[in-house]
Amino acid sequence: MNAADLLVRFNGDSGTNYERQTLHGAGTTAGATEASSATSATLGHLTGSTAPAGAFAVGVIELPHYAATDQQKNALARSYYRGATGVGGRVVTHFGATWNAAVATQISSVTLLPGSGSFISGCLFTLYGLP
Amino acid sequence: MTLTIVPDKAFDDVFTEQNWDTHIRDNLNDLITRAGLTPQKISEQVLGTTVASVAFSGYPLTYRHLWIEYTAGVIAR
Repeated sequence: MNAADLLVRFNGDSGTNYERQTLHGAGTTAGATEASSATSATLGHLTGSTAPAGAFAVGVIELPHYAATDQQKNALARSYYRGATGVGGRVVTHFGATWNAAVATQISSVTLLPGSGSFISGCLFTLYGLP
Repeated sequence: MTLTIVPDKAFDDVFTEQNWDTHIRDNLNDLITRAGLTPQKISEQVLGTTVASVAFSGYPLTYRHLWIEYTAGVIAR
C-alpha cells in the first residue's frame, strides 16, 4: 500500500452523516470521486508502507465558520503525496466535504483517522485559528 | 498600509512630526492590523509512536475559521 485516506470526524460523530467530492491528478490522468452517507469525511491522503523512504504526505484542511450556529458545516482540503518514484507516483487531490449535523451544531472537536493502518511516528499535525 | 523603514538618528537630531506619524504611528497601526489577520497556532501534535487517531478538542469557538496542516503517513496495522 503506497497511500491511505485521511478520514475526519467532527464532534465524535461516526454516523452516516458525511458527504464528499474529490478531484485528483496522478501523472497525466485526472479523476473524480464522490460519496454520501459515509461515516467520516475523507479530507486527505497519507503515505503508506510501500512509499519511498522518508516520504510523508502533506495537506491542509480548512473549516470555514466552524463555530457558526446558522450554517451547515463544510470543509475544504488539499493534499499531495509521493507514493512511488515511477510515472504516476505523485498524487495531488482537492477535497470538499459536508457534515450533515444540525446547523446549530458547532465543531468542537476534530478527530483524524487513517483509512487503514496507524499513523506513524514523526507525523505532525498543527491546528490554527484564523481571526 | 505598509511598514516604513525607520531611519537612523544621530545625536541631537530633531524628532520630527514625520517621525511620529510615519515611523511610529503608522508602523504600529500596520502591525496591529497584521496581527489581527495572522493565523494563530492553537495546538500541535508530533507523534513519537504509532497511534490509531489524533484529536483536537477544547479549542476556542471564537475564531472565524479553523485550519489544520499536516505531514503524515501510515504503517499497516
